[in-house]
Amino acid sequence: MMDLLPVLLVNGVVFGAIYAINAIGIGLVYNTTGIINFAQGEFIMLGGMLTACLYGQAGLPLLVAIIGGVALTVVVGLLTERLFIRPLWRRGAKDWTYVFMLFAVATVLPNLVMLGVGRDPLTFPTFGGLPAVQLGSVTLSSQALWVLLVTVAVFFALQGFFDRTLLGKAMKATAINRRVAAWLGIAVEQMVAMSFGLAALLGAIGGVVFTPLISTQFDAGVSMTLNGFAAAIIGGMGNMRGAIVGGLVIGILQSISTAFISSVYGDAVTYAVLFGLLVVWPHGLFRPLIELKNEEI
Amino acid sequence: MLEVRDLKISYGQIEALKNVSIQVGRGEFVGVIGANGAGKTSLLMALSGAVRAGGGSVVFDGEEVTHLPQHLRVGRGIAIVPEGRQVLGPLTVMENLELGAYQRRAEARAVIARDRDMILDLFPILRQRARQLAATLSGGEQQMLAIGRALMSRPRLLLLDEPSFGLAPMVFAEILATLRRLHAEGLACLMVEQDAHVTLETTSRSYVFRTGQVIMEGSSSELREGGLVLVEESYLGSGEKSS
Ligand SMILES: Nc1ncnc2c1ncn2[C@@H]1O[C@H](COP(=O)(O)OP(=O)(O)O)[C@@H](O)[C@H]1O
Ligand SMILES: [Mg+2]
Repeated sequence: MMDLLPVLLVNGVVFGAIYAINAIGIGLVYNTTGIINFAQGEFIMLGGMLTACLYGQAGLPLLVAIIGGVALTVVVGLLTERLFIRPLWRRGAKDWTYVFMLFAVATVLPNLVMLGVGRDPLTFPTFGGLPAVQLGSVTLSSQALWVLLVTVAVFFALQGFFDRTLLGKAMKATAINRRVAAWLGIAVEQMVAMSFGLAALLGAIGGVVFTPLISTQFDAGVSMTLNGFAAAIIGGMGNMRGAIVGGLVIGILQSISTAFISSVYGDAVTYAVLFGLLVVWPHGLFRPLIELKNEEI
Repeated sequence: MLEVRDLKISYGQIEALKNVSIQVGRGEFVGVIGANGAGKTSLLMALSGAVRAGGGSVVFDGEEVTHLPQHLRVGRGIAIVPEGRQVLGPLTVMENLELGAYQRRAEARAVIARDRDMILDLFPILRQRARQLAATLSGGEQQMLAIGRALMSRPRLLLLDEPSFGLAPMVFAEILATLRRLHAEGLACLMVEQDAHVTLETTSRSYVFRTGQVIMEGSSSELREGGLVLVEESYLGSGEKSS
C-alpha cells in the first residue's frame, strides 16, 4: 500500500491547490468585511459550469468560453455584494446576518444552475500546451500542472497587487482598520465590492483549471467552501501564505485518509486531524493580517 | 472657511453634541478645549464624516458638506489626525504616507513624491524610519507620521484630536513647533485638546466645551488671562483637572 503514497501526495497537492485558492478568496472577503463568505465555493462551481455551458452548449471556442465563464462569475460576485451585502452594511447589520445571506446565496445559486443546466456533471477539454511531468513513479498530468502553475501565478499576482499597487494597499488599509481607511479618503464600500469581485475571480479561475480534471456539477460548491474555509482557518484567516499551506494540508490529509482508511470516513478523519492541529495552534499556522478587529462594521 | 451651525451628534440615547456652532477662518489656528467626554472627539468625527450629524450644518469653503460621504471630504481639503494617532501599524512609514495621498491618485506620481519629500524634511526622523513598520515607531514618531499622512492629502483644514496625548512634553513641543510652522505657511488648523494651557498658547481663538456645548469662546489670549479660572471651573465641573 505504501507505493501508493507518492500518487496520493501528488493528488493531495493538486486538490490542495484548489482549496488554497478558495481559502485566499475567503480571506480576501474576511479581511475587508470581517465576515466569512460561505458562497465562495459556488464561484468555483459557477466558473466551471458557465465555461462548460459556453463551450458545450453555445459552442464557443474554449478560450472564449473560459473568458466568458470567468467574467460572468465575477459579475455574480459583484452582484452578491451589491444586492445582499451593501444594503445590510448601510443599515449596520450584525455579522451573522451577512453570513446567513451568503448561505442563502450558496443555496439559491446551485438551485438556479440545476434548473438552468441540469443535474449532470459537465466538463470541457484539458487545456493542453503543457507536458505531463514524470515525478519518480508518479505522472503529473498536463492539466494538473496547469492547476499548480495557475495557483502559483494567482498567489504572486495577488502578492504584487497588495504590495506594489496603491489600490492593493488601500484594500490592505481597509483590512487593517476600516475607520482609518475612510479617514484617508478610501471609499470602504468600493473596497468591499472589490474584495467580492476578486474572490469571485479567484473562484472562477480555480473552477476553470480544475473542471477538466474531475468535471463539476451544480452542487460541487459546498464541499469546496468547507474545504476552503478549513484551509483558511488552519493557515490563519486572511493570510495568503497560510491559505496555501492550509490548502495543501487539507488536500493531502484528505487524499491519504480517503485511500488508507475509507472513502466514507475520510472526511471524518481529516476533520479529526484538523481539530488536533487547531488545539495545538488555535490561531492557525500563520498570523492573520489583522490581529484584532478594530471596530465593528 | 469652516462654518458649523447648530451641530448635533448622538449615539443612541447619548447626546454628545448639542447645537454646537463654531467657525474657523481661512488660515486660522483654532482650539477646542474641554474635559474628557465634553464632545471634542465627536465634533471632529462629524467634521471628518466618520459619524453622521444628527442635525445642524457644516459648510466648508461655501459648500455644504454636512452629509458628504466621508471619503470625499479628504478630497475637499479636510484631513484629520485622529485621537490616538491611528497609524496603520502593519504597513511601513512610506506606505502610510502614500495612502495619505489616496484621493490624489489621479495626480502625477512625481508631484506626490515631491510632497512626500517635503514632509520627510519636516519630520526627518520619519526619513530614517521610512522602511519600518509604523507599529515599531515611538509615540512621538507615530504622531509625526499621523500628521505627515494627513498632510499628504494637501489639506486646507487640518483637524487634530489631542495630539499631545501620551507624549513627553519635549516631544510634543517639537510637534507643536512644526504645526505652528505649517500654520504660518497658511494651513488652517482646528486642534482639540484637554491641555488648556498649551492650546491657549498655540491658538489664536478657542472654544471651551462642556457636556456637548460651547460654554465659552474668544481669543485665546483673553481666555488665558481673564477666563482661565472659568476654564478651569469647566474642567472641575466634569470632575477633571486641567493640565
Ligand atoms: N461610539 C460612542 N458610542 C456611545 N457613546 C459615545 C461614543 N463616543 C463617544 N461617546 C460619548 O459621547 C460623549 C462625548 O465623547 P467624546 O466626543 O469622545 O468626548 P471628548 O473627546 O471630549 O473626550 C461622551 O459622553 C462619550 O461617552
Ligand atoms: Mg476625545
